[in-house]
Amino acid sequence: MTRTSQLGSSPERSDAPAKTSGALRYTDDRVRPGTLHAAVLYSPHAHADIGRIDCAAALAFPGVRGAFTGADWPDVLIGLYMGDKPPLARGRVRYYGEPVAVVVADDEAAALEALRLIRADFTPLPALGSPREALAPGAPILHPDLGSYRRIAAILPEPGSNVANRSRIRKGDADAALASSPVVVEGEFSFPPGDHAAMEPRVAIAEFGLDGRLTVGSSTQSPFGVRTLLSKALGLPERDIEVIAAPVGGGFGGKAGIQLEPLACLLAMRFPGRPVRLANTREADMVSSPGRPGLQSRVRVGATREGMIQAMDMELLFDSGAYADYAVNVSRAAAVACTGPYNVPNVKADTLCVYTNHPFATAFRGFGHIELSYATERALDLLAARLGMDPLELRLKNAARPGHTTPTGATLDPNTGDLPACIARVRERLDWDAGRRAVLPDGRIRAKGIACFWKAPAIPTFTDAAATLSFAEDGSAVLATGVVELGQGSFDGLRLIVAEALGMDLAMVRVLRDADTDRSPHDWTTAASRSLFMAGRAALEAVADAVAQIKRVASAPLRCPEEDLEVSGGRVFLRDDPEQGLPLSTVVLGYVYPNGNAIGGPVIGRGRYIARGLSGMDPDTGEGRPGLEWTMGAEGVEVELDPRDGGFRVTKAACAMDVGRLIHPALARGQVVGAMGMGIGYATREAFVFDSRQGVQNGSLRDYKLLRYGEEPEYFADFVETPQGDGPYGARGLGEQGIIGMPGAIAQAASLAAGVELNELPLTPEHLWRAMREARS
Amino acid sequence: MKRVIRFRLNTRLYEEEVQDEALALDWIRSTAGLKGTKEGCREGDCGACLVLMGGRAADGSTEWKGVTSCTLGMGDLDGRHIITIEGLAADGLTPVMEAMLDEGASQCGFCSPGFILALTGFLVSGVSIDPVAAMAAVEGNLCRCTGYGSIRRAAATLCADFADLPAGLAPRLALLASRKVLPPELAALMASPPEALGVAEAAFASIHPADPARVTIGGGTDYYVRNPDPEPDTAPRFSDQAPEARAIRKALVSGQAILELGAAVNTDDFFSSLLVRAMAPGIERFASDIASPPIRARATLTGNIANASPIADMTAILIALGARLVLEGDPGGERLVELPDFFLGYKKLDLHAGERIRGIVLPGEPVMFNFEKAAKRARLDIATVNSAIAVRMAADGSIAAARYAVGGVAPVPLRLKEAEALLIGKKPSAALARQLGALAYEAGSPISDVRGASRYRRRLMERLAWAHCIRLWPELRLEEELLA
Ligand SMILES: Cc1cc2nc3c(=O)[nH]c(=O)nc-3n(C[C@H](O)[C@H](O)[C@H](O)COP(=O)(O)OP(=O)(O)OC[C@H]3O[C@@H](n4cnc5c(N)ncnc54)[C@H](O)[C@@H]3O)c2cc1C
Ligand code: FES
Ligand code: FES
Repeated sequence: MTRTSQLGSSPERSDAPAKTSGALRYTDDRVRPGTLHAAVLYSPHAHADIGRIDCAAALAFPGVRGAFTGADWPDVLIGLYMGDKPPLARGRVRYYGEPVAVVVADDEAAALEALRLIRADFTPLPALGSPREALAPGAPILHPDLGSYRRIAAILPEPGSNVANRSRIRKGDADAALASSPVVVEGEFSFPPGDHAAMEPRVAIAEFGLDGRLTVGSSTQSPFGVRTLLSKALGLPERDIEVIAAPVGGGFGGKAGIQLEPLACLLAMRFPGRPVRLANTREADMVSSPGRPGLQSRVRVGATREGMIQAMDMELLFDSGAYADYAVNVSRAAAVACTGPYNVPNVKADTLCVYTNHPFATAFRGFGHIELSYATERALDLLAARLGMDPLELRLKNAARPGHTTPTGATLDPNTGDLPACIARVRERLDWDAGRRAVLPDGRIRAKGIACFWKAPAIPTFTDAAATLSFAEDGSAVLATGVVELGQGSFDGLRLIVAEALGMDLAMVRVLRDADTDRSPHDWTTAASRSLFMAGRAALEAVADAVAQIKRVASAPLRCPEEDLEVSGGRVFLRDDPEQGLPLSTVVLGYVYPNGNAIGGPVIGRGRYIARGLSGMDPDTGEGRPGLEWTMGAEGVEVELDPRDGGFRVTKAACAMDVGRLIHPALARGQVVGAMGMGIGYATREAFVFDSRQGVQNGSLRDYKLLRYGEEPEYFADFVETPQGDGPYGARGLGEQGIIGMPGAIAQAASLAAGVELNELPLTPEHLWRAMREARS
Repeated sequence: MKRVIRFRLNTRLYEEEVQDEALALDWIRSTAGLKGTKEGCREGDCGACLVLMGGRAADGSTEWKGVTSCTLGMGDLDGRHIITIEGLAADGLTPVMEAMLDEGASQCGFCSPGFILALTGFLVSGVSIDPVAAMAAVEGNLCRCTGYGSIRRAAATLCADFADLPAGLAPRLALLASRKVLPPELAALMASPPEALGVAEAAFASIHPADPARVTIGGGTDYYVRNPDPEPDTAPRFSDQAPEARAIRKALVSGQAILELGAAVNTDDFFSSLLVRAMAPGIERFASDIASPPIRARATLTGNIANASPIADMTAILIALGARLVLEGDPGGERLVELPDFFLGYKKLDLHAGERIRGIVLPGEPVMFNFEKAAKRARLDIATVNSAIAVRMAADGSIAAARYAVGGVAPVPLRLKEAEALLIGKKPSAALARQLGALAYEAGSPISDVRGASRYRRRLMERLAWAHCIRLWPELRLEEELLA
């Protein structure tokens, strides 16, 4: 019996009916009657000493159950890698929008009204508005206790300074190579922090049961991570905490860390038996909850006259804002991949995660790679200009290939994607060779740009995934994992993988949603584009395990050795005589003989995966193997600029990515196109605007502009398939990557159009206009 | 304030006591328990909360619009019909849902109900069913996941499948029901909205006689953005309580034809009015410059004026059109104010306690009109700066009369009398456009803020002045000289 493979087909998403009909329940759609509502008072200052906070009037308000300040939990510190953040500010506030006090009431209206009655005094302090300011001698130290914070060993803070983490790469001898390079260019590239702006604002609903167990439903990408971190922060054992992750309305990294849960849980513990809901307004979601880091960078590149890169010397300063959160690992991940997907024999890089008085930063789609990519791609553009070389040719010449080593000295194995093939696809899509710059009859200028990217998941060396496969009476299979649905559609990819491995009809395979730490198998986090890869591997092992059990049971009634059996098409049968067999429905819950005797019992397949062969980085040189698989690709854009007023538009965007194996093309395309769209927003409009005291001036969707319908370019998403040897059916991660190259490609095209190197983002019309004007004068 | 009103939600008729000022979004989610309506921003910007609203238009006919339920007061629902995603899905997936699903246009899905309602509303009320119009119909909806490529394909599929929709609400509803876009039971109810109870005013007057603090809410698109959680003792008066308030009429005053606009005339009403179009031919093409479809369907002209924003678009347009306001005090007194004089300073109005805008009066003579707006995004945006111009030409080709309005360069919307004086008596030319641009460059005293720096605003003002001349007199091909 041969079956045609379902891999590479694009069956309808199994959750689409529930999503389009509005039936899907996100976390905030699951509020139970009797729930208490919390409302938060946010700091109006970016940096200030907190004086007296008077909650008396709020407490007296009808319906109010409690009002709390930082003083209520004097010892609790929260953090992912480093516990540096109190659930409510204590003593001082470090960013505009930091939670200062919270009111809990029977309904939201009462909580909000009572909030207005709280009197809080602040004494403003000078606020730090950039990493360079924060590193300048004499800058105020934002975390005097940095040395005593609980942290993991891989994070290297520098107490007495504002450096929350520093990663070093020392590969070869960059100084010597630069000194001997005939061509050296240097540039500084930067952008302010911004926000994920997922459409679903964050929410957590916690309940402290009378049995002493804590249950929290949260819009989180990381139920197991939240459980661990809650356990550390609250001093409760993991067994007493249950975290439930309903499908999430967009995460993009912003829900990968720990966010509203600790405060919701602390409040719930004050009101045992009653759920407490802590929900963000859009404004709070943008400003008070974490966003993405900003960047200041300096890059020096040395090359031969033929354009072969000899060395890079770079400094990437990540603006982490007031707290370290994921940003300490973002800066570390950027070190791992700092050169971009190019063969650079000599590298010296310092990537720093720096505290400032901005809203704090967490993971964001791309995890440090947009930042490093933007810096290196801009530096390569300077190099191409100096050499008089086509920027595409320069990238092609230096593209990383198997056998080359990464900045941490790990060798790229034959699994490495085919970057030159990706570049070739983009070249074709944009008709690159027809010319990069043209003046249109109406005076506008059309220009093209290209950038390349790579990314390996920045994960702990022991990152894991697990899966169980069980069956129903009809012989259908159900896969359970700890993966969270964020819109990426991992479940449908996993479903295809299971169906393929079982040789089963897709309709007979389901994947469970709602990750729940009490019920789902353990899974590190739904992030780093790793779910299909790792949970896919676990699923394959679970299938193999189940198939072995099925064969064992079936071998008795079929009176044959297990090795002669095959499972496919919903049956188990003799390989050499397929007519001899049994429907799975008669085996998967145990086989019953005609006389009533039964054997076997329910089949449960068990699968696990843990990252293979990863090691940490040497603190002085960065040497090690922190990256699992590298996804590579190229991206290009075509833009149109009106030189008279800076009017600017991206008209075409192309991405070609080596995904190893395309499991579900429609989902893959959806991820890549969505990421490109987000990258266009990132490069052209999205960033916080700060006032002189570092207050956020555009913390709402009205002023923080996202890409809108009708503003999107024509998209091209192409895939190259060089199998990933250890990936499920050769697949590798692809969810984030499409965003990484966009800022670099757009900046290159815009610079070409404007006739001036644009080294800061976002490229708003006003910014472009001003840069052109300054260049003229 | 509490009040009993009558409205329909999907197929169910409610006669209920509601908090007048409470948001429809909260009521739908919490009281009615329909969770398919999402909250993404609570300020009209994302469309996650979009619902369809049926009610009576000024001429008494039934109209259906997509509106953002986060800027909609419960008290405004008296006599209206609201449809949420649950109402659409009552009999299973509809072709709109299937188009989204087939194209992979639902990723995290949080935005999907809003998009589906907007597209369904487009099929119910859209004048021409084509991809460009469909795109305009969902301009008020944000999606963070898809990059819009798949949504565009879904909209295109729908346009191809439903290109042949009949005009007229009744036949269209019947066809949409037969093709399962609307559940038949719902479609039957959509033909006529419920009767309003409308008891509020009289009852209110006896409780709060002449309350000077009483707030008027028009479309709520500014009010609720500023007051996302109004206090429960707010006692708003809704300007859109009777179809007459949305009427645009022609009247004769001492032999002069004028247009009278009611207090509740919204942006859609204005641009679709044949009387307005006759007065300023071509003005309808500027509708899409203002906000987004669900906001335009609600945003009143009086609200735009009373909100006193220096960059209010409708205000600039109305200044150029020579608007006067009819102000009415609660005891019944009435006075007329020239629109530019209504603005005394930043957010300060010539509006006495207890007074409200009862209507707007426009001179009826036909004018040539143009409006320009510069924003960070091309459209759908609060302007950085805007400008409107209306002129009348003399027989010899010179400009006989002119009105010029600019916004975003001063604490209040400005009428630029110098610019008008410059234009009157002259024939349009590139030189005149340059002089006008120079005047516009110097207008007001623009500040720098998150929406733009002052210098850039000046430069934009100049560009808008040129654009006016290019667009008003296309036959002169001024662009060749000005933009060379
Ligand atoms: C997403 C979004 C986009 C927008 N885009 C634009 C845009 O492009 N251009 C633009 O100009 N505006 C825009 N706006 C702002 C707003 O929609 C307009 O200003 C609108 O015209 C306000 O009208 P309204 O009826 O909704 O006012 P409301 O919110 O009902 O009222 C506004 C203010 O006016 C007062 N008021 C209302 N009616 C009267 C009356 N009859 N007498 C006295 N006072 C009264 C109210 O008390 C309130 O203070 C946008 C708003 C949103 C939410
Ligand atoms: S919630 Fe965003 S428009 Fe209403
Ligand atoms: S699908 Fe996630 S916001 Fe549109």
